[in-house]
Amino acid sequence: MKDKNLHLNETGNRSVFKVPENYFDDFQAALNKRIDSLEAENEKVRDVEVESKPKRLFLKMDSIRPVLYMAAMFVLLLFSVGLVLNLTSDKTSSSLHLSAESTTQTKTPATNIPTAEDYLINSVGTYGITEYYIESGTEE
Amino acid sequence: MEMPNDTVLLSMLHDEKKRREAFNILVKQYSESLYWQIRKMVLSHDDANDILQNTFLKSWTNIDQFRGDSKISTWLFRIAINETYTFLNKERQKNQSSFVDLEDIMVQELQSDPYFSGDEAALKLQKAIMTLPEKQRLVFNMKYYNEMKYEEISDVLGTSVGALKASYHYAVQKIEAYLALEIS
Repeated sequence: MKDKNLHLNETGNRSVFKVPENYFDDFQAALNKRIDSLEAENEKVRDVEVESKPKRLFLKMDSIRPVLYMAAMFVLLLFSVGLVLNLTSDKTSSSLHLSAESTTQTKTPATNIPTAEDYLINSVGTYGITEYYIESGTEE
Repeated sequence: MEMPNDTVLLSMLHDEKKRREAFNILVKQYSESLYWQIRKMVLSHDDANDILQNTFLKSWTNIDQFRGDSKISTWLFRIAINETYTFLNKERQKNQSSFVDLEDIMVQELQSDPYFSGDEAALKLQKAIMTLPEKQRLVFNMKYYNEMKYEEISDVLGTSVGALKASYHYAVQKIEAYLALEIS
């Protein structure tokens, strides 16, 4: 093997690389400095995590609560307006004087899904509705 | 001061109060050998220094996960090799748009490196070594320069002794062929 590797043997395995003076002596100090700053950073991160985690959630809820309330009120308002508009939309006058029996007949037994009108009639009653329209008529 | 054995060192490393002292012993003991292993792969002193620091930083942050299933020196060597591969891959990606291979660039820079004291023959040998695939280059360096036994190399790289012998044999053949061509 040695005779075959003429060129390698000529060069030999001596090292041809150098290092700056005192490199290995200074290396340990430089490394310790880096470890110290790494440990200090880790300590900071741990402290921040412990302090802020529960508060962060609490603060988030506090800041969005008013927005949630306003959104809920807006939805309720829209629903109420829609309900009122539904009631005042083009219905014939005869439909207003329907008795309790006939109003029940207008229900679609097949589907049995209560409408806004049904809800209102059940709560206010036909007398109440009649009163409302009579009063509104006299105002005009 | 006599270096404590692996068992003693390991128990010190797992003790928070003695960890730093044990780590300093490790650095003093292994920094030079690790440095040369890295340097022969990356050629530049600055790069080797960065990789060596990263190697020890990684070992510091992962001390708790090391359970002593291998020698401490083997564990450190493996971290150093992984860090070296990571560095070379990053450099290769940076160099993707270039028409010149990374290895060629590294050897070219060696010519003007103040920390390279070799002659023309030594430079040609480095060029030849850089033509080898990374793992084969590593095996060649560990055997040729460090004169490590195949069993020791096998422990570090996790490759069988037979495969290492074959790898070294082919590495030597390639280098010889390259040098013969350069000379002719």
